[in-house]
Amino acid sequence: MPLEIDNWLSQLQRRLTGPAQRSTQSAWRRFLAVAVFLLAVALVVPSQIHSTLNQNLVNLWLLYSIAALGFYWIFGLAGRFAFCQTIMMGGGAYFSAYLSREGASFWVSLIVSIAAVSLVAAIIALALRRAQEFYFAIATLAVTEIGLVVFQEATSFTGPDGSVLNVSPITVFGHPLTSELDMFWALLAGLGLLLILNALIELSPVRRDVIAARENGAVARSSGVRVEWLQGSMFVIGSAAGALSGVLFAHVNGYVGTDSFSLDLAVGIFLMLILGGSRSVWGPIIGAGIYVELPQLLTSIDQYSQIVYGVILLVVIIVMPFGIMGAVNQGVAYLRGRSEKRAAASAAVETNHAGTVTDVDALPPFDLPSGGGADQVVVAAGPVGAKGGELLRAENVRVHFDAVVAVDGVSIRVARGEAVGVVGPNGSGKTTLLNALTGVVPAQGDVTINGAAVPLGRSGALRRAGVFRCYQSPQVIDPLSGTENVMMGSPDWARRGLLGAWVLRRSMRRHERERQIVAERALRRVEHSEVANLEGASLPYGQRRMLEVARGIGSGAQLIMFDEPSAGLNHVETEHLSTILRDLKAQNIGLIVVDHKIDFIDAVCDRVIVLQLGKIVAEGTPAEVWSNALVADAYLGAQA
Amino acid sequence: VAKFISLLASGIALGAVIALVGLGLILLFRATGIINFAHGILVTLGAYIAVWGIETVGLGTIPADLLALFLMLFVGVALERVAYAPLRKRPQMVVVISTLAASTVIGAAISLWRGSQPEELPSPVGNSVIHIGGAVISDQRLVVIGVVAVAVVASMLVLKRTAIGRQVRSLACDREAAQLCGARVRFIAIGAFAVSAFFACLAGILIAPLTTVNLTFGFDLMLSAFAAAVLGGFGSLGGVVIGALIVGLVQQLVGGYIFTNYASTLPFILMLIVIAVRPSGILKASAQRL
Repeated sequence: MPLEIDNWLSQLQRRLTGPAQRSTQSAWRRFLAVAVFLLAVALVVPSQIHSTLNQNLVNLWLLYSIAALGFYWIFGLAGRFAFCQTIMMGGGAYFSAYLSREGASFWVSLIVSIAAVSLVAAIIALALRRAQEFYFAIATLAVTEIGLVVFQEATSFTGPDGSVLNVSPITVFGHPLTSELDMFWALLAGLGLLLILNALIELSPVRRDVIAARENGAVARSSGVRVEWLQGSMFVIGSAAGALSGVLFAHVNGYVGTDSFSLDLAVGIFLMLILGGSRSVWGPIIGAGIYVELPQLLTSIDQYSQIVYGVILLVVIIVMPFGIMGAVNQGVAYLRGRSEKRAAASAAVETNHAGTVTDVDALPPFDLPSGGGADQVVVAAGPVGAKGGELLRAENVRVHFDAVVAVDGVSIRVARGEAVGVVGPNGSGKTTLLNALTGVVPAQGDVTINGAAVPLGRSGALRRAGVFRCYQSPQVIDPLSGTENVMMGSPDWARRGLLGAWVLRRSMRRHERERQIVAERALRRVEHSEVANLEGASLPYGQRRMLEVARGIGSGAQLIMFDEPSAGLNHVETEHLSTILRDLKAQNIGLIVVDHKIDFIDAVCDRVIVLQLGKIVAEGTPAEVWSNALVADAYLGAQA
Repeated sequence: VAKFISLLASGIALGAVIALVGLGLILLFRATGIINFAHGILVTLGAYIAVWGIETVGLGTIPADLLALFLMLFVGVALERVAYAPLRKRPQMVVVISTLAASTVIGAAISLWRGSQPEELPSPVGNSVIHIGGAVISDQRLVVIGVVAVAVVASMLVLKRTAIGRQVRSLACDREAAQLCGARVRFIAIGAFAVSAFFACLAGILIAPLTTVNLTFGFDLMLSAFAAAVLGGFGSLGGVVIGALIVGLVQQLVGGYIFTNYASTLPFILMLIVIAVRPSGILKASAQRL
């Protein structure tokens, strides 16, 4: 019998969790933590309620925890500075109160209200999808102000002066929950559900992509991560959690008023997340507890509570950037004798794909598929043609910054399996050319990949057509592990959204395993497997450099652009790099290599383009180009 | 027609008020790269200090106003020391949270100090009015418009013509490069907070006579100033003035005839439209080196 349970457990474990051995343990711990938390609350609260705890406050804590957890998705994970969480709560509360007044049952009110608020949030997310930082903060603040006025004025919907009394209680199986203890169970169930949904998110590629988008949006976007879509969906589910909190608030308290969702609470929600720790799901829950409990501890100086909140918030952001959970994790890491540097940056980061695939050494030697192959890695563009077929054709690319023309009518063609070098003195427009092609700067010109036109200026477009860019300064996402950093560049975009995290987990895990295998092979190819489980922040320059190259190798792209890949590498490392690049060519991958080292270009490139002041001054085989007098002029100045 | 002229006049006056609030915001933004969410509470605080000067200290209106302006310079410096200086190396959005926290603290302190009763601040020019085309316009509104014009022109001259102004402009353009060239970042940050608080106070004491002073008085104005700044392309002084006029006119004219109940949401709706249509705006984070 115990054996059966054991089997069943490990089966469950496999169903719930990710691919690798170690990640399974980490996943298991996550669910265990949720279970322990819920159990502890369920055991402690009812027994202590008459002595030390105030049931009303415990319920308020759970309500705020739900809203703050939603805000953790929006701000903690996705990094979107949204001011409108309280309006989402208010929206849920008023909707549900209205529906109940019109005779709808509790469950209908609940579901319809959350759906309605999600719809509103989706519209906001769509309208503000490209607004950054300050703009997003100010715009969502405007949403809050509009919402408050609407609640106040739309009295036929909300009630006189925006207040509603006598909202019907929560009803479960036709049994209304009237005692505060009954409501406590309902609220705990709600929080438990969100915690499980959160664990599923954090054990899926959503976490990786959303962190990449938060830390470095431009690079995530050009790696093919759908930044706007992901951040938008996090905003919608976070707002839906806010709505859930609002609906429960209305039915628990039986009352809704505009003052329940004031700006003070908006600041309060920030306080909860930042005080508790914005990098861990437990942060908002701890923060909400402190927010609710603090006025009780300070009853004698109640009127100072807002000052105390404000001062705490100030002190915390100055002293503990990642809040209480950040400090706890740092302490734990310190006790485990890890180096302090890693701990500081890691805060709440647990790498969920951290493990090495156990059978990685049993895999066939490195042969990255350039067109699919047996692996299920999907390469976006069409079938790979014969060597020498034209891959990229960019005509007349032009970039100007006001009056300065940085790239002036440059045309470049790359065939399959061909490496084209781009050289030129500093400021000649090499990197700008790559920026133009990958949509980082606005540009004019015509680009076709495999004969199909690709619009310029859209970051993801070229990536999805099968082109990958490696940057001049290594763009490593600090909170992610080495493997995760490489996986970010994967060409397999399937099941990387919430659908994969919550519903299609089996398929998501299969794709993740593929992505992980490819990433680990790429790391082995650059001979830096040791960084697989290390956090990006802890890596020195050389390893970051090679991580960038590994991302290119793992990208499954047909064309890879390298921007000064050899910069900062010594002779031996450069040699190794040119072997890697020649291997890529042998796999029929086209390369554009911007570099300064002549020997390196010689070793890798079939053709070279020389740029000066944004124009092509010479083009040909390396030997031809180096003997060209104009090139010597460009580099060394005209010889007298 | 009288209604229209009166609405037009109050629209322009409202625009001038918003421009004055926006001026302090933009100056600080140019010099430090942050948006100060405590700016609104500084407007409120300035007005309350003037009220205190009159009621408690027993000063006349103008000396009380001057006292408030003087004290607010120090409040600005204190705000910089507490909420900005320790966080200079951190992401800008962290500073936004800290200014928000500072705003909470100042707001709570005001409510402890003065209570939550709305208060009146008399106008330095009395309650006289003039008549234009049948509409009645108070002198105070004309004063507001005049002061805004002077303040905007003076700020522009300082930015264009002085060494400090050049440093501020270079910081706004490329912080790192300016810093490397020796722009005095700390000094400018302190000065900018002081000047910005001064303008906040100026706005507070000029606008308060037209309405009543309560705790959300400055915050609401700050939100309209955000809208004006966004409309004006965040960063230019001329832009914020034009944006403020648009916001003021739209709110008074559109809100005066239709949408009466929702007039206060109009600036925000305008702003949302602008952000939705021109998402990167002029306020693009300084281009990343890739």
